[in-house]
Amino acid sequence: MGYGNYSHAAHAAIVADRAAKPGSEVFKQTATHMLMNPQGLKVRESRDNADHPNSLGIVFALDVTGSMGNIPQTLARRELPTFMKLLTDCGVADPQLLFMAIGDATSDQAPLQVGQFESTANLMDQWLTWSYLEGGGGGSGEESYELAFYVMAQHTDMDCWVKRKKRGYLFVTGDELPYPAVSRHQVEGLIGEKLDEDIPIEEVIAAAAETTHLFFLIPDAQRRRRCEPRWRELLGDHVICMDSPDDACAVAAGIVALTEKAVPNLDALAGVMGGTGMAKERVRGVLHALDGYAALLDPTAPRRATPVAGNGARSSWWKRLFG
Amino acid sequence: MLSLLALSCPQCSAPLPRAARWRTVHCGYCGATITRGTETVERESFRAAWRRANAPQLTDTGRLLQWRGAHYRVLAPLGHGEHSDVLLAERLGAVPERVTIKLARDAAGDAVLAREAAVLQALQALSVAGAAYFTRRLPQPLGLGVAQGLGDGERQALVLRHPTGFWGSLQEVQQANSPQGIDARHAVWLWRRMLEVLAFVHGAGWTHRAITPAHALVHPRDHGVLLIGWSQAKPDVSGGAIGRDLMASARSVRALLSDGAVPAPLAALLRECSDDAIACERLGAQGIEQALSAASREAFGPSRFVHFDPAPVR
Repeated sequence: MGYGNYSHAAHAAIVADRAAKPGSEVFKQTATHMLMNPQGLKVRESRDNADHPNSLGIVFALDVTGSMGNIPQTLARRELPTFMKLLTDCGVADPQLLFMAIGDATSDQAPLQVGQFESTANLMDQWLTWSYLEGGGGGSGEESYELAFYVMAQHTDMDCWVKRKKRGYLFVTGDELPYPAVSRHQVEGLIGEKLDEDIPIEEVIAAAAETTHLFFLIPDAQRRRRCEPRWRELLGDHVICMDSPDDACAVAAGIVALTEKAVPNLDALAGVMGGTGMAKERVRGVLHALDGYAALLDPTAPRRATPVAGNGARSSWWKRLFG
Repeated sequence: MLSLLALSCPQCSAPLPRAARWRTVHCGYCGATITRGTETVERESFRAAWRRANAPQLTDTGRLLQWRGAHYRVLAPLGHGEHSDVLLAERLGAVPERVTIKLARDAAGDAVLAREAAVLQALQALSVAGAAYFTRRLPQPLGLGVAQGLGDGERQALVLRHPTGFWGSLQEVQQANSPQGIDARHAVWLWRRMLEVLAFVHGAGWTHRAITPAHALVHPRDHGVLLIGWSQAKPDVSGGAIGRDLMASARSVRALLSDGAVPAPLAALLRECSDDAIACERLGAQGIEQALSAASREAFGPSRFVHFDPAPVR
């Protein structure tokens, strides 16, 4: 997978065509698409090829339960071309996108759907819109996000990692807690392979993180409080709380651009986003969401946090932190 | 059609327990160790990845802390308070997390940290209107517990999310801009950010009781202010505590300004609020904010974002 060139114009045209269509005409599936059914899943490959010699695997695992179904809609109607254009404008070469859809394996008919890595506008759009937005979700406050990490660890093979030891990306969107472990019964039922034991989510995250940068995107401040502490235990500063769910693509593109050092810092990223015509308020929201992660990448951040000795004007404000 | 599966030992053909389907077992008759076929995904490979991710590196020797079962790599000492040492640290593991760790130096420090933790946790647990937004603009505690490491035994530790992007306190801003003071347009947003948080906190029935320039950190790019120093805060708004909080906020902002350069409407409001706690209590944080907006419009016109350099080169 992953052949063919990306055309922003073609992608923008696809998206523009459906601006006024109701949701059910964009996402037409009424059950899991047979090609996204993970039963018998072996490996999803992101490979280098003549068109894309430096492929970079990027996975969106979208929570498609009731409360989160608007993000796939926003991607399909407006934002996916923005994501690709931002990556292109930042100079990130050869991204290959795979879409997963995540629900609740204890209560939904389609808790896990898996597409393929693609490079062209048509195919990316195809897998996104083949996703079945079941809407369900359980009442337990948990969704089966751990399955996304399991698929990433066990069923993807990316040339960016295999050939260049450059990790791919997994962006999970959601507003609920994960289940504490990957259930071997659920994996056997959904994928058809046997696990010798349930795998605690900490371990499946550690395994996925060896080849992939993992991020959990929380759509807005309102929905962060219930789930953010637990996700921070699991994913630390890779938990990104956005100001608005509409920012998901811009935030993800910003993360890739910063991590790949395609842009040196947030100010440069703001310049690129401004150049694409994004409103200033929105750019500010994206930068706000990325602040903590950008500091993590900045090798000088710990040094700047250190008090400047012997300078009265810059005496340590840390001394007084919280007390 | 129903198919039957017999689990038998490949060495002696004795029957095996049902668990042989998913884990290693020992044959009860010949003692052979029976492992699963290659098609089974083994948890051990995931567990090994977890162990690799959490293993301290050789380069971390001597600069590691253990807290609640996790290892933290100390990145920088941030300061020494009256009762505690403050460190910037990063949690080891699959994905890093930067935290501020306050380590108590003595028993009195233990009590102060415990009080801070209790106050901050109570504030974060508020469920009143606006809590989702404003709890992000308050310090976020991760927990209180005993930390080990750095070669000095066990110490009580308060661990907080590391606030990024903050330049320093209003006190540092004041010192860096002395004696000419800051542009009054910046004083407007600085005060407004403080008033917004205070309006939320007061509305929830809490008072800060220690508002000073040193307890307000400035985020220049976001035009944000983080109020710190919550150890004296109480869930009690009686006895003029609200008025004193608001008066202290006005005084903190007034200290940043040079009197001659402040437009009259703003100067009048600052003077009233920094001298009269009763008037502050009557207006409340929202009332002062509305008066501030009106004074700002009168002095500077419609509000707009103006870049703030907290320590300009002059």
